Amino acid sequence: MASQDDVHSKAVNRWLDAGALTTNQKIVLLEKAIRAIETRAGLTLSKITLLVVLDRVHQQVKEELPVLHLVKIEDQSLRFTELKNDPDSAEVARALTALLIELLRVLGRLTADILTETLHKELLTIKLNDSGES
Amino acid sequence: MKISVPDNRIESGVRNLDKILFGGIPAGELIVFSGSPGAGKTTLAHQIIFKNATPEKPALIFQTLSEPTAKTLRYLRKFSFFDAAKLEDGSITFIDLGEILRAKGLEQTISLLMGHVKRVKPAFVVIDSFKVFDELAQDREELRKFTYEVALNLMAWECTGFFLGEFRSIDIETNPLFSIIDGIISLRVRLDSGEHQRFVQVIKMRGTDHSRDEHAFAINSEGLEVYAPRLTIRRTPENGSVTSEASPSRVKLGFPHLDKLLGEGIVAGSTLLVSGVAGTGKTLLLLEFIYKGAVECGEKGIFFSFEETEERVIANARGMGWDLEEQIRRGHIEIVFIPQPDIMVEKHLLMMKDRIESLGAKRIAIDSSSVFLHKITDPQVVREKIFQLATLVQMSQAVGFFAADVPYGSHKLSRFGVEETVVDGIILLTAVNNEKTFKRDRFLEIYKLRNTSHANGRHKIEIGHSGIKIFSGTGKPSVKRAPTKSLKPARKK
Repeated sequence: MASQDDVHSKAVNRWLDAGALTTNQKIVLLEKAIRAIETRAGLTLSKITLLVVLDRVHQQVKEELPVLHLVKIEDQSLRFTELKNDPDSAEVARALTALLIELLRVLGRLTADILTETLHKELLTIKLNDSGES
Repeated sequence: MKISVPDNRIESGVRNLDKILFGGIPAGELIVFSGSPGAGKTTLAHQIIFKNATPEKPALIFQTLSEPTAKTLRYLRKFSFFDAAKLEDGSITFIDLGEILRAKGLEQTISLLMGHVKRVKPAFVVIDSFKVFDELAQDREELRKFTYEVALNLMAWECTGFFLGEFRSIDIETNPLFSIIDGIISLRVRLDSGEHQRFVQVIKMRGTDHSRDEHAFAINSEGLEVYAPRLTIRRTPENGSVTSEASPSRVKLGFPHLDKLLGEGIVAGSTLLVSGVAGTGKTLLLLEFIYKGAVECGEKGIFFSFEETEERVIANARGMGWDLEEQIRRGHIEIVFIPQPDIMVEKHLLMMKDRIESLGAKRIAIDSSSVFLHKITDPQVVREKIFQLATLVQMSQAVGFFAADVPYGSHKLSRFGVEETVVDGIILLTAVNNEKTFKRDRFLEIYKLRNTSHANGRHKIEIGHSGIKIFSGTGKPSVKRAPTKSLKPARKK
């Protein structure tokens, strides 16, 4: 399964590296991407299913990247407000990247990769605003 | 033959269960093991867990109110699959939910249960028993919510879950659990052919086709063992049924009188019924078939006896001047005695398969098929079992002689009246009273032998000190018999 899991990692890194982004821009982009993946996956899976998946993914990744303790699950969605206040932006970007990859991996595995292509395509549509805002 | 288990399947560790599931338990599914107390649910779950749980793929076993953990462990120790090291290295963790269930009910239970799941991240979860939740739920809605949450969370954590319970058929229609789970394996015990027999049946299993039959199983020191002869004893082109039709390999038996009657020889893989009423020489013919195979033809033979002990069979052979013990010592012959009251057809079919394969037997004698199947009353089942016995012979490309007891005074060719339709040939042994000599004259007739030009008619036989003598018609021996060497007394081991 490891090679199948690599697919998500490669997709995310390719997408993320496509634009020469600053760390802060990457954080904004990753947050948008996670939100978009949540929304897209929620259309196929029920909200309640998505919630337990988010819970699992968050639980698992934060054990390796403790900065993710600052992420909360509220209103059936991941909230990054506190995380963005963390001064170590490189660590935050790394943690969000790991969270996104794990989310895609778990959704892929749970749906026998039925959603994988759709979610990867969704990822490619996520871009910063023209202003490159945060 | 070991079945190969695909990546997305879990090898159960239960003999033949993976064959019923056409390749193992689908990973990540939630499966109910239902059955009455003592049906084998807990043993089955633990057998699977001890086979599969590792520190990298750990298992959580939640005990509810059914049995204290200490008692379960004590009971599990007697099985060969039990490995105490798996409890030490974190592969398997037992958690007793009984106390919190009693004190705090279902709502607290789910958060406790999921707390353990999040901490351990198990690949396998067992809940024994899930049925307890039915009794603890305040109402159906609470049960539905609880069940749904458990199932959803285990799904999200990619756990393969086994939920055990004394569920009845009605539960499948009414219990909310059954609308969520992926599979149902039913275990039951019932009276079958006069004895209590355990049966396993896969009622439902998402993600795989599976056998829908009931299969007998037993619980022994290795855990569950499923017999499933319908799946394990099968004729395939690989073991000769197709290729041998064009130019069949033929076997000579090594006793000239009989070989002459059998024409160009018996096709390898064939089974012959040796039919006759009691006292016509069936057992002796089977014994000679096995003994001559080893001594004259260098073919290993196995003799399954349901009436005579091994010692009695050896003594009978010694009376004919045949040193069976020597052949047994050399590994050319095996005698397997299964006392008649102990016969369990499905179990012993599997045992026969194992023994035939491990010996590499080319001659198989069953004395008798009538006794072996005596508990079965349904002719259709008798026919199926005879077919499976014949398939064992065919799979080994051996020759089988099955004794069949014909009732006195009947014109039947076999005990049940169906055996003769399955086998490839029939050697009919008869006896009539001779009014002149006041003795019984015995006869042998090749009644049927598929694909072979064999001798017709009855041939007189005599049972003497060196076995069966066959005469041409009612006259002199059809082939001059070589003098039998006198035997030294049987060696002691």
